[in-house]
Amino acid sequence: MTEIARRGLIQLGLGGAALLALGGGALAWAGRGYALRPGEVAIGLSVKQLAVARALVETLVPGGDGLPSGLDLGIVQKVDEQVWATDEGTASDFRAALLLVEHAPPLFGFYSRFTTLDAPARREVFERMLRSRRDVFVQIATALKQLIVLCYYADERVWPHIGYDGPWIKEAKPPDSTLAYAKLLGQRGGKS
Amino acid sequence: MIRQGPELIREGRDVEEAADVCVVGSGCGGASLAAWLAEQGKSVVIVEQGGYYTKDDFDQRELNMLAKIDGGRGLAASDDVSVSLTFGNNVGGASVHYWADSYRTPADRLLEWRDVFGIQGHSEAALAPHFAEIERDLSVHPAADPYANRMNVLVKQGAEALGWHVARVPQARKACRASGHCMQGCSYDAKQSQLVTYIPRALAAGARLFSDARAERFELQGRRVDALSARVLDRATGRPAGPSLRIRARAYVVAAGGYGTPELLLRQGFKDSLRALGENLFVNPCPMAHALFAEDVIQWRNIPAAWGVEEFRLARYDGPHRVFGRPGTGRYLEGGYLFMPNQLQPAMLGAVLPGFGAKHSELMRSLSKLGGTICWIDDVEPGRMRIEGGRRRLEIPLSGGNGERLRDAWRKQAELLFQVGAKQVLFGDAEDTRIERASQIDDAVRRLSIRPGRNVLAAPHPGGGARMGRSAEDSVVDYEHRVHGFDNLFVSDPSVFPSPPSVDPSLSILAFSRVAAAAVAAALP
Repeated sequence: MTEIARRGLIQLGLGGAALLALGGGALAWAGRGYALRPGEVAIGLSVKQLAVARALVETLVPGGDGLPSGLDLGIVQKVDEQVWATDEGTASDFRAALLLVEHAPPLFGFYSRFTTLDAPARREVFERMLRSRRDVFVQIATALKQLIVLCYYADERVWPHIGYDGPWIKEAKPPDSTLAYAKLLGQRGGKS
Repeated sequence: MIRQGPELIREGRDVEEAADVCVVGSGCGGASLAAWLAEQGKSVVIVEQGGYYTKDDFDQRELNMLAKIDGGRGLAASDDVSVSLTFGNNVGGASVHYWADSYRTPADRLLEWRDVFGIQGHSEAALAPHFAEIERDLSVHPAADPYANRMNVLVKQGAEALGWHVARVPQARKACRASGHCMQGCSYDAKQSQLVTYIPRALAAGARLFSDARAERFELQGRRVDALSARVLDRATGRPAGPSLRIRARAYVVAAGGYGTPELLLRQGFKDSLRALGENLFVNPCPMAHALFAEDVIQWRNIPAAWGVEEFRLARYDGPHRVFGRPGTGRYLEGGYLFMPNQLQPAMLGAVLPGFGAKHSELMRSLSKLGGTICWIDDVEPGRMRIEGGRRRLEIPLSGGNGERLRDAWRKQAELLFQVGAKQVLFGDAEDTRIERASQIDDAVRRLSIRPGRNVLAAPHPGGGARMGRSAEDSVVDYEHRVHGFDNLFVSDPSVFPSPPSVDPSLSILAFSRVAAAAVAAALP
């Protein structure tokens, strides 16, 4: 069990444990009720975790008022890449955090999974997580928000919309991890 | 000679090397020591976990550069996610992403280390010639006016208006282009990191450097280390991918940084005989305050910190003051941190700004008018590292004396930001606390929660996890940087400091490394 999941269990008590057990049960059904969208590939994350990441991208970086949406920019795949490329401990924490988000809504008054909530309800759940008295929800909401927002504003297609004039070095030089991930993605029929 | 991971993986053969000295890590502690020893004619092998990148690889894009030069790709955090761990993972170590702020260890702190912690051989007088030489090597000089961006000017003006001592920050730079991308690695070789100073000197003097190689196991023979084994890592994932290295040397120096060194030593099982190993950890947790101004600030250009507020470097108490890890009887009044302008490129700034969705993007649309400040807290409550289930665990307390200093730092930052015309100050907490008048500061700061995950705090200056001292009862290394109980194992990085140096640590690390280098040379049979 990952550190975040273990801390989550301790902090959530019995109800939370039941909740996680449901999540664990759902893991056994991995893939059921969750599907990839065209062009998506789950490499660092499972199909289910990727679906939660997608719901979070829609919630946290929805775009609008001239800003491109995180979904259109492929931020879901970028998040998958970061999890794939990071060390196993950190990666397993992010995976566990995504599963906790998926099954957390009942604790915040919404009797549904995060991915099946409508946009206003997702915003409400995430806001309540950030303000929760239970540290674990603040921790996972903060960590996931930071990862997704980092990927979004690192995308140069966003920069003209926020008045950022960008690097002076004009040519991007992707790291080995990005090149290797792109190769994997291509082999599996995905698009970056 | 540099041999990189991809080349070793292609060759697919295990490598055996012999040397006088094997150095683990190539940051300030390792590169400088390697250079000095190699220039004395010693044969030196450097083993570095991260990749070897040069200015031609530095593209000033945040996500790309986090992957190349930052430990954990910038995603690592303490156990309770309270602080983000900032450390280097590349040839040159953290000096490749640092701000180039280059202070000598203050005399008051060296005295404290001598008088309170009993440190010998590292006095102001002993270190002075080392500092002078290092400052020449790194072209350290006070930041000149053209290098102060608008946020720096505001910090200077605000501090002067408030009667706070503010001074030019000493910088290790040559012909800086002022791009503002120090944290992404300098694309112009202007920042005098280890990558462009002591690493080339070490190589020119014959040192052999292996990048993408993780030190794993010391082979012991009684009180001596007989060999070091390391694994070559796949640069894309950081996972073991191929051949091993085995280095036989007459002396071994661990210089893997404030996080890396105690972790490596703990993984050897040395905790049983060295009780202080992994204890007494400090990190300089960094509270930030963000501000919206009516004018353009453009915080992302020019150097990060040309001016720094030194007024609060030392904490003030109404009686005997607290020292790191020790109780004090005086009541805390204020201070205990260095106070700097902040500089973040948009992705990192977006990640640390509060909120999400439309409210967050509204802030980001005001990017040019967003400024802010940051403080390096001089920790007084020790943290702790341990290995559990094969994984590094890190406890960094934000309560007690650390918490008092955090709150005071937020208070002072808000005070200065309003002084220079901020329309709104944001503390970046999960509750998204924002205030619009100076009269709201006290109430807002009092209400800020410092529970896990609720604030965004970086931890860029770790140390103390292998502290220096008299014996294995209270420390890990002796006054010659030798690990207690060993004849030929040394530590040369901030892990040996008994407490935080109260300033950016790079010059302190380098000066201590000179002492370590002399001790290693003397120990070679």
